Amino acid sequence: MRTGYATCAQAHSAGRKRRSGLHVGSGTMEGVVAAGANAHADTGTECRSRGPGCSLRHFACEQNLLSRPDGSASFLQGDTSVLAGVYGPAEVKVSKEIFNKATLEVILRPKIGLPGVAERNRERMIRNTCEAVVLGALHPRTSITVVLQIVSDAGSLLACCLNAACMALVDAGVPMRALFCGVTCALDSDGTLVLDPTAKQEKEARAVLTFALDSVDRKLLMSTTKGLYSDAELQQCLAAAQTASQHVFRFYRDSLLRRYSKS
Amino acid sequence: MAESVPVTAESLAGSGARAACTVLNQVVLPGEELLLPEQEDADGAGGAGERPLPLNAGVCSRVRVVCGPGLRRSGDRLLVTKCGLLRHKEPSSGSGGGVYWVDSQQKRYVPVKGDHVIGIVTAKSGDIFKVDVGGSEPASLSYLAFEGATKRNRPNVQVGDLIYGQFVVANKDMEPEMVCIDSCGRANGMGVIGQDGLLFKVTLGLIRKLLAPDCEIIQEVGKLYPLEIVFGMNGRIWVKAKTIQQTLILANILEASKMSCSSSRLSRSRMKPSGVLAGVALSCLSALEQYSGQMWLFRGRGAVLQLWARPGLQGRARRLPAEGGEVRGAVGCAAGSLSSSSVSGCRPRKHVA
Repeated sequence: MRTGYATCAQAHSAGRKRRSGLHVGSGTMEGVVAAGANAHADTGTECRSRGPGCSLRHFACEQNLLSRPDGSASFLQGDTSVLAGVYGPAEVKVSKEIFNKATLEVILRPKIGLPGVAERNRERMIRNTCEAVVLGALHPRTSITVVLQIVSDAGSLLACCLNAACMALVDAGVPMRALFCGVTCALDSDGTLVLDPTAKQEKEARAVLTFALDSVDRKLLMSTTKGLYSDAELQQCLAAAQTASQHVFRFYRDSLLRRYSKS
Repeated sequence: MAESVPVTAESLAGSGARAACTVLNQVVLPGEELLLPEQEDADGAGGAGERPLPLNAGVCSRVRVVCGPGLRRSGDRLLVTKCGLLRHKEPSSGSGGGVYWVDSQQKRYVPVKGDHVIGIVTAKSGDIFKVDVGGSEPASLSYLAFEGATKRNRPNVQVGDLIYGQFVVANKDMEPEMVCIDSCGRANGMGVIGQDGLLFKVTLGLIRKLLAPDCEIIQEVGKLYPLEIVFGMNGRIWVKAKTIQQTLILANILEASKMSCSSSRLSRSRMKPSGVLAGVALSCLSALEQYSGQMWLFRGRGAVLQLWARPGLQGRARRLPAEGGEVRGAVGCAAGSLSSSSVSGCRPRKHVA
């Protein structure tokens, strides 16, 4: 039984006619996303003609879709899709237990191949973000495991992983002090800021910055950057990410409202 | 940014803390802060009225409010830690501000003291049994925690048995401990669950919904055929009926009852098993004469319903009361219906097979 399905089309909510790329996404999610995308025109386009620097791609989220994990969520951002499952608070090996808080583990599996160094790096970043937000002190000597499976990667992967992890943690009922979201910015060679870049935009960009922000005060929880940028550009990207995170949190809220209104 | 998407008042950053009474029965998200009502009164009243000047100007007197699951205290506000619907219950005794909690949907159980759960015995070591209750660690159950158990008269519990018991110690720092007797030393329905039957798992929210006092699902189901159900607050349900087909039908009904209304659910599943008389009632029986001779009550967390009869013996049945403490005893017969009786008026009857 699938509950909690919601989509967010920024064009729709802002009430403007903007051509955003509403490609329906990977095959596994088709049945789900198509239902939501029918309300919006423009399926099947792959080019993205967004205004410089300001729009996020189409979001979709589904919760409680896996039966075995305690919480699960699937998050779509444009073409990028990540499936997350959370187990916890569960038993922990004595070697890994921490006496006063929960042991948080993140496992990230790429779409093809074995996990390598890049996955381990992303796992560490996601884990640090989750540890800042999850109230581990309520469940000492237990383990909370977040398993992320990349279903398709079309840019802004780390941000999509963070969003999927947050929705899965909420679905599992793990106590948290705030919600968090991930936003990616890309700076291209003439200094233009693009939020939620595609894979092509990321490759051509001069710098790619990913931020994790929390829901209470838009504080910065984690940032990872790659490339060349100036101090002013960093501040500009951070401000843009903070504004964009409002949309993500509003989408979380709508998605969860819809889920609880069904029960 | 070139385009400025209007920041609505719902944005989480701008809302700040809201009053708890304004968000009752609405969805709250982790990270939101809620103001308790009396604080607003103190802020709003200003200098009017004849309140005595507090010595500490910054502190306002607060009514004691109990913070339930999903909420934490942060300073003088409530911080929401789980996503769900915010609920409130007025205090029955008149003092205090009542209880606030968040009704969330979860699958993983965390042991809570006083909860009645179904556990599976996983190990026997010395004087204690290790029982898996679905939490982060197995609970321990002493062999003396059964009714009538002494050092010489050990209970007959094997690895793999199902146990219905309650927690006496359950906090985040210690290993949970459970017992199969109540504070008076009587079993009260707890102990080893009998042979056969089917154990399956549902979400915790569904268990609470089925055990709520206003839920008619159990009554409707009970009118079909004789059955036994045990609900554990850890999401486990054990059912047993005369035939395997009936047992499976029952399990399907209970699992499907997470959808909303009851009539549609009953019509959806196959409700006409062959060979069952029409109008069969619950075969739940009153208290055992051989143990205590009267029906006894026990209160679990929330309303707990347990119908339990051992086949072949004089059955035991307890209908545990809802919050209001009303007990309805049911006398089983092949073609009767549920009847109410007071506690003392319930007479033990033989099990009608």
